[in-house]
Amino acid sequence: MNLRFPLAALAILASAFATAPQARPVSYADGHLLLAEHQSNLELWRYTYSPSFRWSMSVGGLNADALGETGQLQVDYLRTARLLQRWNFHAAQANFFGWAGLGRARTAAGVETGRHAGFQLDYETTRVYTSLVSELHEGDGWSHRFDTASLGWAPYPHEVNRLATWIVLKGMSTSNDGEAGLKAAAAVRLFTTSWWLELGADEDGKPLVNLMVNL
Amino acid sequence: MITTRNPLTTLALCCCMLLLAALPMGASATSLRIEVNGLVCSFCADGILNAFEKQAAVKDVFVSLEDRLVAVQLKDGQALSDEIARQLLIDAGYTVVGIQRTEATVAEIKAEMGRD
Repeated sequence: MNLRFPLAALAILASAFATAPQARPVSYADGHLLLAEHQSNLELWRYTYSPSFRWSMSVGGLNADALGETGQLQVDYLRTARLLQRWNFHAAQANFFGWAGLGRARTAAGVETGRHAGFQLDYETTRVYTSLVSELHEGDGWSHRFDTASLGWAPYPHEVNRLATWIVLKGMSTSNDGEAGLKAAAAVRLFTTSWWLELGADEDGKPLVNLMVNL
Repeated sequence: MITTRNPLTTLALCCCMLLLAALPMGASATSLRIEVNGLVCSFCADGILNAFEKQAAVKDVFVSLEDRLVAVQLKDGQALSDEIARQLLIDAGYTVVGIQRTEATVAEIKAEMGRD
């Protein structure tokens, strides 16, 4: 499956079916989420259904290039994610998610079964957001790991049925067969109860776009 | 044997019955005010709106992150138990701190909080 179709088309498709949203590997009981993301060397999409707030199943794809010796990675996958722990505080929430999946991976060496696993740790109030996301993709003789640390600040507390605005700083690392590269990025995150849009750029000035819609 | 009732006693009984009828009854509450922990993200709070709006007894729902409050107004003559309301919020991923019943509508609760 070619994942290089225009992001705009997916955004329009997502908007067309949008009725309501969510930003995590698992949302809420009977929640449907569509996600599309573009970075300088990475594009991904994912559709997630959560039968409960504790676990979800997804179908998705990832297309990354400039990845060390294997050069390029295309993966179409199925995955399951689980909310391993949630802490609901008085005015904050923290989460620990884990996930794993299998799919068809295409690298310079050919097509084979690829496996992946990851985790997300986050902590959020109505003014501060922090998260650490790590995901490892591997097959026979290759591995790629994508790590992202985010720190967000909201200039005003957000509220239901009002546009939320966040300034988010990110550190993004890609490790290819042991060799790591690190990039910084900044983005503006906007969301309501029904959609989520992040627009920014990395330190090379290359665009970063993340769209999520609760279906 | 013939008994006669003092007219003052009869009047007092009538007054008591009228007073009792005028008192608000807890079972007729029209809204639930639910205090919730972990309520910080409007994108994630969508699950709360979806869950309550699917309930046949629910007329209106209001979520306030700032007040950590979910207000649910019921349709006239309809009921929603505390247990069901609590379970809906647990299924949405939140922790319920307390539930209060009130005669106020969601619009009145919003106005009270300055959100109208």
